[in-house]
Amino acid sequence: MLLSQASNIGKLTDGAFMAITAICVALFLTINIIMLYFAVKYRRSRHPQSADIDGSVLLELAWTVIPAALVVFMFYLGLKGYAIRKDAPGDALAVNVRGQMWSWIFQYANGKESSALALPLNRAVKFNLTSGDVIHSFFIPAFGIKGDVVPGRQNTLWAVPIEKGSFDVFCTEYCGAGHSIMLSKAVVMDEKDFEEWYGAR
Amino acid sequence: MDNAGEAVYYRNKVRGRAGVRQWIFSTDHKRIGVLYLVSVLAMFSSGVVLGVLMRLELLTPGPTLMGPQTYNSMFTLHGVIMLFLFIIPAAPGVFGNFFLPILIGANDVAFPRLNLLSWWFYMAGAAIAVASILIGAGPPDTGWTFYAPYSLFTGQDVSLALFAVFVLGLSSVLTGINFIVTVHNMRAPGMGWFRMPLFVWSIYATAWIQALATPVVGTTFLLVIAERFFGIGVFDPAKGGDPILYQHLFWIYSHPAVYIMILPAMGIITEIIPVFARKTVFGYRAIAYSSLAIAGVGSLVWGHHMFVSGYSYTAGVLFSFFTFLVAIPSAVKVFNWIATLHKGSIVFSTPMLYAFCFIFLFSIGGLTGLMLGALSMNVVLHGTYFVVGHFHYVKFGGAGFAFFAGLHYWFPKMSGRLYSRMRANIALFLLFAGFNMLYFPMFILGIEGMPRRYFDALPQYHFWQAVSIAGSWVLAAGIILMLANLVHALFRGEKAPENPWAGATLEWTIPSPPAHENFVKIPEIRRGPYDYR
Amino acid sequence: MGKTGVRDDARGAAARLGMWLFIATEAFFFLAPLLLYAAYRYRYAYDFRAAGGELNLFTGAANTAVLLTSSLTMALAVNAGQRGDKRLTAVLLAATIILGSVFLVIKYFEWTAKISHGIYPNSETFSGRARGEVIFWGLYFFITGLHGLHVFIGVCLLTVMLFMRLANASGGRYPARLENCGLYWHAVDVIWIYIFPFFYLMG
Ligand code: HEM
Ligand SMILES: [Cu+2]
Repeated sequence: MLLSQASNIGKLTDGAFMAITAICVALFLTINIIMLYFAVKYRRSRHPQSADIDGSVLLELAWTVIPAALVVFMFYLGLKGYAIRKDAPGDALAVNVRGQMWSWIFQYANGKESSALALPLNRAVKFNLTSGDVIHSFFIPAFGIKGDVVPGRQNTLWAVPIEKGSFDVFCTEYCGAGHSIMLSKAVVMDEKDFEEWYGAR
Repeated sequence: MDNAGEAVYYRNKVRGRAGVRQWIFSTDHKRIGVLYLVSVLAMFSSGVVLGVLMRLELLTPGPTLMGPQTYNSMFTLHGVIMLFLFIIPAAPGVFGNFFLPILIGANDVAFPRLNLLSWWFYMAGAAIAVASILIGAGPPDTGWTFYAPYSLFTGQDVSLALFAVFVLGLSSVLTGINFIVTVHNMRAPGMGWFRMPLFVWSIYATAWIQALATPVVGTTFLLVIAERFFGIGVFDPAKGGDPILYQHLFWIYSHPAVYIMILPAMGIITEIIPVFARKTVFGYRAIAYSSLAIAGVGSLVWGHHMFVSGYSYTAGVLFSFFTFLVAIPSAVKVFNWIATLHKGSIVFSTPMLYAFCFIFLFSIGGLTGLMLGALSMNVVLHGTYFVVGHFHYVKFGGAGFAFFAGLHYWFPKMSGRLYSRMRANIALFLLFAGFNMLYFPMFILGIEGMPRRYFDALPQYHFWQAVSIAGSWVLAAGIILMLANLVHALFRGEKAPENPWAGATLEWTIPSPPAHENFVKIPEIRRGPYDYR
Repeated sequence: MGKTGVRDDARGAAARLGMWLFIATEAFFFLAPLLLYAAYRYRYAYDFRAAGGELNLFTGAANTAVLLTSSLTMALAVNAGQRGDKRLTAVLLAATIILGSVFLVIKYFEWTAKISHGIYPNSETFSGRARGEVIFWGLYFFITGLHGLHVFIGVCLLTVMLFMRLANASGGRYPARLENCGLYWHAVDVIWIYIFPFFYLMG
């Protein structure tokens, strides 16, 4: 549903996304349906005399503890997909992602540079994010990954592309006049095609 | 009542002072409240114009009305105006000023002259903000967040806008201090802490945040100004500074600022629901304490704006956890409002309809906030239209709708006139429909990956953008009708009685509009605020 | 004392609470740059120590002594004001103003000495220095500048109080106002007590 099915990390996030969204929709419906139900049932024409109730400790406890349990559960769901982002596998293909006003440059280990991001299918890739000017943010919606590209520090991301195709790459940290044209494509190809592209300097 | 005597209405002409001067130099808290009302509505209207123009820009591919540079300045100004000049000062400035003293049975705030000074600082801030558009190197284009290092390098005029926010901050701090002292020292005899209307509690909690959090962003902006003029290096990566530290300092204030907007809004809703359900509020103490809990826990969650900035894993986990915790007191409030409806005797007057819309919209805003607070989801949704949808649901659907709810609730008291309920309800319908049409598609756009602050959209996003754009027109029509209805009522409306809604709090025991000195005799308080029997 | 006296008391209490709150906001006002100081000191410990060594401990200590003494004279002035001793109030206020001005003068010489050695942000000789040092001096100028501004505002306030005193104000709300000015002055002093070791002693 998140459209982030094209990488291992995206798939993992999607599970949490579905579960959390379901809980939130359920909570939304509970709140609003009860509200409407009361509004209709206790409208003045049907219920002219209001009751004298000013609270209930039991209820207060209930609606503190139950939401508390729910939010801790949602927190846990969100954690799962975050923890895995920390460490890339050691044998990952390293790509230096350089953000600059207003384009992306992808540098590979053999010195090859490209303005589009070529990636082999089913192989872990590690992105080293650096910037020469202001903060950018490297975002591939289809992969479910995003990381700020901060001058003066190097952030990293990783993912295993699991679907062939051409996917959007966006800048999601505002960086000036060309922010909305700071686009590129991530092209995921078979290992063989990739080696061919990669070898051809 | 003895309060209804030969009083001089606060709106009456004052002898010896001409025209606007008797307003803009008045230290009467009610007049200052009205000054704020006029100014924040003017600001809101100009923000709406900018918002609608921004929407229009995305109607067709490529530049429709303007280029990217203009668009970028527009969302910056829209954000600055809507936050610092409209929604932050709106509820405390207008209803806090007008009703806080009345609700606690006082003649005025603790420091009336300081109060007037706050409004003048507000106007000075607004003037400087306008100046930043007109003079210098062109309007700021950094977004309302002023992130370094972009804000250090851009050729546009950023310093003046930052200074404007600094001055507005000063106004906010002074208002906060004034209200805290007022609540502590000015309560009428018998008005114990737990006999205060809950709106007072929410203004009180807000005042603490205003007083303590605002100075932090004040100096942070001074640091950026010093950085631009002298290059002190603290946020400049080329000199060894760390732009991430800027984000920390910025959000240490700006997240609590969200509670400055939403707490008084919740307070307004808490006043309205019992009146129109004819029932005392459910869980008075729970609501009062949850305001304090929100103010407290809310100051520990700023880092949830920075999950993808590259700070430590532990930091991310902690900030996410606190973010989820702060949802609990907010939920408690919602449940208490709904429980107040239970076995009530409900009338569907305009303010109550606003309150229902508020709960609907605010629950969407809050729950999408939880989705954003979940770490792995945040990574995907951060910086997309999902966020734009979320914060409009909270700030506009929540704080904004509550502000308009309060306006329709207290309008008869403030103006002494009744408005057309029919037109008010039609306007609300347009507002509500337009609002959802404008902002709900943004959730879908965000989930599909469209980043915010883009002056143009890729083809796959056009459909939902078009729906949203059409929604902005419906919403704008609703806003125009709502304001026109109130202005019309101001001149042509029927005279309002003392207590048109049969409310039980103190403001409904004095004439509409109130006399200059509020109470002929300071009342003695012998019962709770929502006693209907 | 009569009715007005009671009202003055209540007003005094409100004013005092307001002043304490204002001082709390002042503390938060200095929080942001001090947090930056802490973060960068941790990151560039060596550079910070090196840069701090260049500050003249003697001038810093002298300034601390001046400001502490001024706090003493201020406290005595408030006391004299409450007792209604008009002459003594005026003398002590004047002493406080002079001490505050001495502080600013010393500060001025310290700054100009640094600037004449090319130690200021964006100077030509500065770019060659270690990054932590650049930031140390950036923060030094910002924080001491901000504090100096507070001292300056305090001196202005006290001058107004002195003129009111000389125009024969002493009863009514004068003692409460004087007390609030005193609170402010002590707060500015306390902030300096925090700044001093950060820049001068931890070098
Ligand atoms: C008719 C009413 C409104 C319309 C049409 C509107 C439209 C928009 C749009 C389209 C954006 C996103 C621009 C982008 O990211 O490209 C935006 C941003 C924003 N809006 Fe609104 N808005 C309206 C009312 C409000 C209100 C009432 C508030 C606050 C109470 C508000 C606060 C903001 C803020 C803070 C931003 C972020 C600015 C930034 O990115 O720096 N808006 N608005
Ligand atoms: Cu960018």
